[in-house]
Amino acid sequence: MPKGPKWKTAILMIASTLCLSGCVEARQLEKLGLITAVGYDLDGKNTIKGTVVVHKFDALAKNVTKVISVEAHTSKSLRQKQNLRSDQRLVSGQLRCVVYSKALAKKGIIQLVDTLNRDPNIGNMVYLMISEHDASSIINVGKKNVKLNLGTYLYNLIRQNVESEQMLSPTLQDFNHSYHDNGKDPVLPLLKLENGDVSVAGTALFKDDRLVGILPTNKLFFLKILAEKYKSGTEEFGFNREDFKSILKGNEGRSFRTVYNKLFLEIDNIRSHTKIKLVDKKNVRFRVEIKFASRLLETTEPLELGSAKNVKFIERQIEKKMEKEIHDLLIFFQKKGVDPVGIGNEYIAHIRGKKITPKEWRSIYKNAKFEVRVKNTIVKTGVID
Amino acid sequence: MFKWKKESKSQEVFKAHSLYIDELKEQLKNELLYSDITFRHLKKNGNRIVFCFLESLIDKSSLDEFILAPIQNNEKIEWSVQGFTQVLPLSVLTVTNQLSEIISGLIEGNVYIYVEGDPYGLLTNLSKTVERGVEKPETESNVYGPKISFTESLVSNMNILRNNLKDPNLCMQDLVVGKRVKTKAKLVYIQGIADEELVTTFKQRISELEIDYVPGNTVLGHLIENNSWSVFPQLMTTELPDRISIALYRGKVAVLMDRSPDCLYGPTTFFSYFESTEDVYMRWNMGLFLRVLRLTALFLSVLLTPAYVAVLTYHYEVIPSPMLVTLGESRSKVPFPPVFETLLLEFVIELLREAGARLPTKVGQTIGIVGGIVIGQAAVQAGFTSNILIIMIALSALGSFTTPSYLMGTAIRMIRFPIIIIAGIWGGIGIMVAFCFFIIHLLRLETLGKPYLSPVYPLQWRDLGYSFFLVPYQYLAKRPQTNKPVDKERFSEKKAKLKKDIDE
Repeated sequence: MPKGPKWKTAILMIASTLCLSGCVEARQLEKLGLITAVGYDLDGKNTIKGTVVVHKFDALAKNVTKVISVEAHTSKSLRQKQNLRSDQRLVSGQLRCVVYSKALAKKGIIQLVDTLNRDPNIGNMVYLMISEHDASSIINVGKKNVKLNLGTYLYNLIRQNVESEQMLSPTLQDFNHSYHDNGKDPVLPLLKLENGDVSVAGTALFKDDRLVGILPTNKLFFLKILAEKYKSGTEEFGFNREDFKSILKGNEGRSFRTVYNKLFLEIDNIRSHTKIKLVDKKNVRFRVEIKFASRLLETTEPLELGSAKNVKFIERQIEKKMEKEIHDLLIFFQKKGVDPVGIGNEYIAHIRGKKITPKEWRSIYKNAKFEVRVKNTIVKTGVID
Repeated sequence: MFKWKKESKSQEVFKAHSLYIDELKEQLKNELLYSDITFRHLKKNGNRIVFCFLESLIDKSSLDEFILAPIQNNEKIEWSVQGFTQVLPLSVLTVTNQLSEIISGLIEGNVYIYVEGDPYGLLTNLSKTVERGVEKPETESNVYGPKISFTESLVSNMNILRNNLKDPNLCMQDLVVGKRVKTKAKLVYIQGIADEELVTTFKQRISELEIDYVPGNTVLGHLIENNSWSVFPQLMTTELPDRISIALYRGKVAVLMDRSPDCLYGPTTFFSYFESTEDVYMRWNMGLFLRVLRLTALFLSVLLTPAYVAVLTYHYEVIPSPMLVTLGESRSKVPFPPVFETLLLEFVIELLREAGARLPTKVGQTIGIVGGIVIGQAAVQAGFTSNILIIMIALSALGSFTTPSYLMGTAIRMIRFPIIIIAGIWGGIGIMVAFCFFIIHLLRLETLGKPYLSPVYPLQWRDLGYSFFLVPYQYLAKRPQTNKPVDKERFSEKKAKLKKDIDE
């Protein structure tokens, strides 16, 4: 047991640590204005316009969110100016979404992303997104709707779509990872205002930190298959009716009309597995092998699905279609000079030891050739949930 | 703090009392000043007998029936020690002439019979003690299991234990506690299971106590534990005989003390305070669930309100967005900072608990209702506290009440206050500092020379099945290693694994 003098030293030490270190800066929740979403626009030549959604707590006020927008040159001075306009101290610890305008993204956004990285209050799971027009117009959607907290609304919009695998995850961490990866380029979702609602309009493709192209939503299915393990998503394929004549069901006395000239099949993905291999080092030829298990959800015309032969036939048709689509997509990426799939990583993995700069890879990528092989299995054609 | 001083044993005075009755009476009166000492005289043929006793302590009807009546009725017998031993229908008679022995005998309720001129007199026990009957356990009530608890009488407590454990190896060693008031006590253990060292430590600590009076077994526990500065109790008292029986067969040692309604036992590690006998009587999986529930409640109770303070004062970043609105809105009405708000409400809860415990049962219920309504409803509406804090405080109060040991429950409620304050000063770092402090403190604590956090640190994975978790019986073949039992096995592990076929 410690006796007299030991106790004295202990008390002295505790007292001095308490006195000397002082207190941590208190940030009481109800005295803060919590920034939940930020939008950045290019305003004129040299300035950026920052718009923030501030969530604040007031027992008497009805509107819990407030939108403030100011102009400045750096994001930190934007914060200073926004703070002047607020009765509560603005803090960024609850930031959920950051929106960059397309015009700004075309010039490059890495410095603005970098400030997010440097702020320890901002989490890695912040969603980054691009807006088709002004970022402020997206942020201002919340103004009309009193009950809506735009920060969480945008966050839920993206999260819901990411969780149901309609979208590649656009978190700050994912963006950083792809950006700093020599063999991969980042992608972010593109938002659009439609009839006063925010909706996802496509995927913005980045070359380094600059936006260079837009991938429409219907192609995202193939990008997801290529880029990551994918367990959901639906896609429709259109075929000529002539090709399917052999398996079309007869009328059997009943009459029905065909609405479309073409025959459409809707399938969904149960699981897919993608392997990208460098098969020819000299000519830089990649083979993309996709194993794909799917369900047939809907057909626009009745098909004879009773026999295995017919199902096999449909499988082959879909395979052919997918091979073409995916090949087209890869060529599209190649022409844009972007690599969201991470083919560069495959290349780097195959040439062992040699270091390759991003620049070298870009020149190699230009001449790369692809061959796509899809193995599709229709697991189920019957009842779907 | 408490000192282990080697006692310099004072020589006991051997002094025979006077052979004359009048002088004997004077001597006794001088020793027992202002007491209710009573003398009854008999005369026959010039022989005088005196019966000395303390009136309040003896059973008068048995004095009349078993001592006076035989002596008066038997005319023939000789009035001497030898003659009385023939006629008195009493099982225990002590022959003595030592004054000190007579005095201590009288205090215990003996009657001293002396014939004038004889060298010796007779001392016999006719004591009458005021006792209550055996009742249901009050402080450690159980839903399941035996409904019997210890009483204030040492003899009936020993009776209960002996009846529970009909084992010839059950030892009950005599001990005397206290220097002025010599209270009887018994050191209870199972010979061949309990560690010899443990028994001697216990005995030594109690016999070397230099204190005038020990009011009860709990106080005895405070006096002989290692660190009396700690908030954590290091030796457990219980009023459940079955708890002691179970503990004895795990190699623990217990102390029964006269006039004390509970039994002290040890070594009791930190986790044994979260064991209830109910866990043993339940099926193991239910017991396991309950025990894990209690340990979770412990952590909730200690850390929930400090976490609230830290998060709302410093770390607003970690609040999940669905909770942000409700938390912020209820906080925006409160005029105090979170530390003060929390301390205030914790204080109110403690007041309620204390008031409920002190008041008579009927009024106590009203206090509960008043507390529930006033604190719950009005405080929030008046903007005194946020309603989320009310839930958290209630949760942590409930959590601390789930601990089967009342002492440990109180200790847990107490350590919450410094953690809340330091959370208000340093936030999450403060909680971590305080928590580390308590962990280090617990690591350093000992219970009768055994590490306090025992099955967890130092890790005794076989013991985990007894105290931290509960496992089916076939895995509990070994007694807990922490207690260093002499006989390590409860049953043969190999035999337990054999499955007997029906046609064997």
